[in-house]
Amino acid sequence: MTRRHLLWLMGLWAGAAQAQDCALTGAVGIGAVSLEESSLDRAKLFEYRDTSGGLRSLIELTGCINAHTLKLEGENLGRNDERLNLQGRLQDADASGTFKYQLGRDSLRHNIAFDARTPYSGAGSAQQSATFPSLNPATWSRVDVSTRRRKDDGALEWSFSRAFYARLDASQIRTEGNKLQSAAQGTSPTHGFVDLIAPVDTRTRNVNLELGYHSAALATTLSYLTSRFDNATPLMSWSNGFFNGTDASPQAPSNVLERWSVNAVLRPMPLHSSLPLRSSLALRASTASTRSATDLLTSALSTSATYPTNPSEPTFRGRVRDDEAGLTLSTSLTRDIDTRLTFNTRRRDNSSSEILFTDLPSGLGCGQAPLTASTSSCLNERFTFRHRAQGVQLTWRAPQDNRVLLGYETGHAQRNRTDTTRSQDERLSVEWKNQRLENVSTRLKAQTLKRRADMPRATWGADATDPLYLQRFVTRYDVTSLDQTQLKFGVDVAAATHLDGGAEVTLKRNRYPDAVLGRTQDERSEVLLTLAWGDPRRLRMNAFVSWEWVRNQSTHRNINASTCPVIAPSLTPSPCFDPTQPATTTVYNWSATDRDRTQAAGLGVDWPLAERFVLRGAVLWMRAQGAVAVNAQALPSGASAADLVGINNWGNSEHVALTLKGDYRFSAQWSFTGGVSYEDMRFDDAQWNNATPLVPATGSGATTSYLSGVGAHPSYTAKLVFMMARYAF
Amino acid sequence: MKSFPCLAWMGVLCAWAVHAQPLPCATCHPREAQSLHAGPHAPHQDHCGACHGQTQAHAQAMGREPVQQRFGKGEPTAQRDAACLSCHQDARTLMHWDAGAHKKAEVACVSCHSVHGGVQAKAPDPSISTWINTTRRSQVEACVGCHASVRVQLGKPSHHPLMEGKLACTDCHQPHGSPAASDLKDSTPTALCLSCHAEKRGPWVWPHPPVEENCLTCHRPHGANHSKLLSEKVPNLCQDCHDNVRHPGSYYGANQGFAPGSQSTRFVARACVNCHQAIHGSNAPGARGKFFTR
Repeated sequence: MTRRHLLWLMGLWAGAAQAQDCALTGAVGIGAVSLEESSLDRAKLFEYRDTSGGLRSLIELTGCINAHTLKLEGENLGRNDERLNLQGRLQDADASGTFKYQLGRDSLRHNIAFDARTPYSGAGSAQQSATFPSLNPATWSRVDVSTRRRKDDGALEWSFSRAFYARLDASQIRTEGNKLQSAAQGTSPTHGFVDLIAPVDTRTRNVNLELGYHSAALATTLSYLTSRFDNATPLMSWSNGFFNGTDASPQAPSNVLERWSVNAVLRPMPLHSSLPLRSSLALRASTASTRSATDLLTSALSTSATYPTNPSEPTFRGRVRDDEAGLTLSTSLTRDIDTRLTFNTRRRDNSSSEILFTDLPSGLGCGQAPLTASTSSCLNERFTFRHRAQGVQLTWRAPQDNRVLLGYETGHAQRNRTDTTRSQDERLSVEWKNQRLENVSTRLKAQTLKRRADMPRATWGADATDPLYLQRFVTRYDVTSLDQTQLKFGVDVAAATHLDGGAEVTLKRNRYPDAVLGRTQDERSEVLLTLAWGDPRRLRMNAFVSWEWVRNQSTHRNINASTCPVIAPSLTPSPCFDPTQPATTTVYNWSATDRDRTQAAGLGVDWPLAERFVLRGAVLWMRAQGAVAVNAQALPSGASAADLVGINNWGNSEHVALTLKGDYRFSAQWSFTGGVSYEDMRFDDAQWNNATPLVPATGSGATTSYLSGVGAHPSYTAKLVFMMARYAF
Repeated sequence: MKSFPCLAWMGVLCAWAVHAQPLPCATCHPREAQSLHAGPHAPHQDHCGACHGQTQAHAQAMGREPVQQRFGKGEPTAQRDAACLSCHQDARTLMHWDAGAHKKAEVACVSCHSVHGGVQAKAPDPSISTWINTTRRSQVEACVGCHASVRVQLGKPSHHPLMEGKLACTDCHQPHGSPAASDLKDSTPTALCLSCHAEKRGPWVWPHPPVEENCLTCHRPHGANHSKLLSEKVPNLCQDCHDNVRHPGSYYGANQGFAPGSQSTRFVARACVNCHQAIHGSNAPGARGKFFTR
């Protein structure tokens, strides 16, 4: 639906409303914004919002025509963040049936970088070429990296007999533009990489049909969703300077998702229950399939030439099925005791094509069994999993306005991963809440989670000179054994008539007991204080202060070779793939402690200076500081195996935003808003500081890397002046 | 005594008049009465008692007696909700109310809905946000009034566009209850993420298992200090799972940045992702796909 259609519709409704003397209210607004900014790349300032100078607009319409009510909202017409939404509702005279509709459009531009550099011609298209080496960035082309996303959606809902309803939702999300997509040039990190500006031209169309029956005692729905994702550029080809040929990067495959869902809730009636003990039973089940079809590349560029990849089938047919079901039985055992029993199960089956790539040269083959099929072939992985969990919760409304909640849940998971195939979870939680004091509410929650997982790689590798032996010690924190402790404390205080305060403390610790290499422990702590004070007729203030600490600890093994060194006087390779062995200057364990600290504070003020004038202000400050401390294993002599340098600016940033605006109500029809805003965003990051377009080749066989500058200069300062005149009718 | 039936009748008439006519309520509460005109409760604007119960005593005592049904903080949640649920209990959006976190936490309907403030969620406190190009009242502001820690997350350098008004909390969460954890609108976080990020659905020749199972293994949906909503910077995040011969287990540090002489392609810019960019899955042949470099 175009803007013209909506304006036409609005005029139609306005005319009809006038003819029937119906209460139709609304407003139109026109305004402007002026921007002065200072930055090397202002994309971060514009990341999700259109702060550019220019006109602003809004339109609102709310009213009714007999039993028909409607609401129209629109803003920023013609800008990158334009939004329009129309909702309506028609009701039968006896209120037994209702028809609702909705039409909307929402636009968003996601700006990633302005004036990015690239040595390629055709940047952002499916075919990009360049001549390498290209060592003078001044000769490169410039390109803005951003995507335009527009969502058009609509819904129809028809309720009849007050119990049955049907609802149809449809939407289309169109995304156009480009994005950063880098690529390795060779087969080793020393061969460098290139930043490519990849095309984005996709469309996702969703249709969801839902049928339902709702009454006080029973609610049930059946829904069907189909979601089709189409990618107009399934392949991007580009010049590879290292292999000296045309390379290809497959893009996201077009796919179709279909899902059937059933939901049902049987619950107590106001005066009697269909189930004993005033129970309610909730059931849900869904089955979804996702399909894709991709013509596989039959050749690939590698060292010195293009090689056949010999896929066992020309087309990969992806087919994944996700089934899930859940059941919740909530029961009021007594007036003060509620229980809840839950059961959930979820499984993924993967019947995608099994693809074997054979006779691959070195560099295209997948390595060594059992990690892969063989050194000259690759067999794809079809990931599946099963999850099952059951739990019980008991809530006791204890005397003295106490409430205690106990929970226990067990879970079981199976996966066809090589690192962990089975795990068992056991979760225990206790929660206490007290509202004994009229103006104080206190809550405390403690939870433990114990997960135990198997380690099928524990027998890998013939001995410690075999690279596979190292995998006996590598764990992945998402599935490995875990001991988790979590504490959460909160208090809310209404200290006086117009004074509310709150405090919240959260502590969470994960330990991975089986981890030798990988993440071994992580912690998260948060403290938050809030304060709200003021009389709505005079001055109101709202403030918060927050501290957050995150710490991730990990251990790794530095072995910069695929075979173990021979250390004299021994004539055989050392057992270097065993992390329990003593360190050498080339093979050693090292540990990292990665810390993130975030501090934030904010203040909002609404101050009615006069009957018709309100001054509003907001200040927001946030500082993020990251650091990594590293330690190398000690040599038998006691000295450190390596002189490792930690990082003190690891994603550091500081953001200050200040907004001051006034709302003046001149008359019942006219009102004016105007104000100023200031923002300063600073980044300091060891990964990006002093970024250059080239990373020069170092060492034999190495190759230059080519960077676009995307993400290199996110800092900005912005000053905005804005105003809006609003006429209500 | 002859006049008793007459007086009684007049009393009944007065009682009926007080009960049925809006005049006494609107006389003292004009803003509250007016506020219902344009909202979904407009058909009930003349029947304050539909929500507030018996109002005669309150009106007759000129406000010195409370109305039967009150909605202040001190009233029990179940009692406050009962008035709303008497009409809305069979609403389809409340289907999973009993299973939801808000019911469990005894959050009342009026904690979020301001019946006399229109259909929008109320924003009780002054806004604390950067300037955004909208005049609409932000749903986020209503939610972070209680979920204050989420406000901090949403303000981090990498975030979904909630504070910008282009997404709402209810795009992901169902505040009226859901059978899923965290009252998500979809059964799992991954299913929810893929409803918007459809390009990451695959199915892939080479899937990355943690991606398939749970997006939250690597991403913080409410906001992060590091780009792409990552919970930890790369290469640290990747190295938390991957250790092998050569570069996955190597140390990378501050002396390998862009400063001349020591740059490492595994440290600068996006580190591992400079080469392994197809980290959500790949359809490229052989090692190019298996190791997510194409």
